[in-house]
Amino acid sequence: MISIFLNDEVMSIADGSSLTDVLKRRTIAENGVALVLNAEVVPRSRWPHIMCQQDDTLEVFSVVAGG
Amino acid sequence: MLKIGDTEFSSRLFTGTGKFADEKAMLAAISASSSELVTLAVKRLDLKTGSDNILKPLQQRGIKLLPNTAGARNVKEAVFAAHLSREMLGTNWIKLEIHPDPKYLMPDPIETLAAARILCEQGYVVLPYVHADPVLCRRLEEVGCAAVMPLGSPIGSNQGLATEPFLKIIIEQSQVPVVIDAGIGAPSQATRAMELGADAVLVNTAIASSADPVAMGRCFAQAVDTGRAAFIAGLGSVSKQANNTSPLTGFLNV
Repeated sequence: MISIFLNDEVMSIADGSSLTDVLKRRTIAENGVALVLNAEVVPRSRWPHIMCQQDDTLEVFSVVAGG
Repeated sequence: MLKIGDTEFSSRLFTGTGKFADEKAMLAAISASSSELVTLAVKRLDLKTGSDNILKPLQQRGIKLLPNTAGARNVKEAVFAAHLSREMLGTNWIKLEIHPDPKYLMPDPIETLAAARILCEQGYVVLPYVHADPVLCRRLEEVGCAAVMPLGSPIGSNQGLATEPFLKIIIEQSQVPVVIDAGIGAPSQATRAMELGADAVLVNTAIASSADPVAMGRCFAQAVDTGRAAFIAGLGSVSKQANNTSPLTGFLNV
């Protein structure tokens, strides 16, 4: 197991977990979210292929109402 | 028909999704307004409360999404927000807004122009929210913005077209669509904006904060249509003195 920071929460996940796996674990729907890994926006197409590393900072952004 | 980038709109009323009492009210009001383009914001997801459920119903209705960069205080943050929203929503459309001052939310022209240049080069369809500055609007057009969105008055203030003389200049000069954004507080003000020749208006607070947002959405739709029709028909000229509409001779003093 490794631990990462997910929107400032510490989360433990299995070694080799992808960004897609993290979303699944947290039951966060992929539609309408964006991921920022260590301050870099990650293209959606890369989510299944990027494996989390120990102490990674992963941020999830979503859409909200606005003008 | 209004065309921005490669998209045509039959409605010239764009709406925001903020400040509504709930999602149901927002969706009903947007439907009543016939708006085909709505603005959205991006925010860090609160893992405890989850996300707003506004995206799916808007997508199901076929409404085009215009994410904004609200909260960005400089070029870097605005470009970051644009990258986020592109990955989030799969759109390269972006409402560029950079306003570091939380009291008046005045858009920063220097940061906005610099960010617009970068985002246009990166292939975004950029709609910048700016002060009603004709020189800035021309510069934004030159760097490739698909439209310009000058303000009528401060965001959410309902003060109407305080910038009207400058909006007229922008409308006269612009080769890209002009969308009057911010401050429109009443349907009559939307009509006025359209009578001036604006290509569209963007309304949020005036609809969302109404006691009956659905009815107000409908009112704005009618107001925009009326103003556009009046612009096409051509307004009469304004003069300082009276010009009689009835013959003044040949009746009592034959």
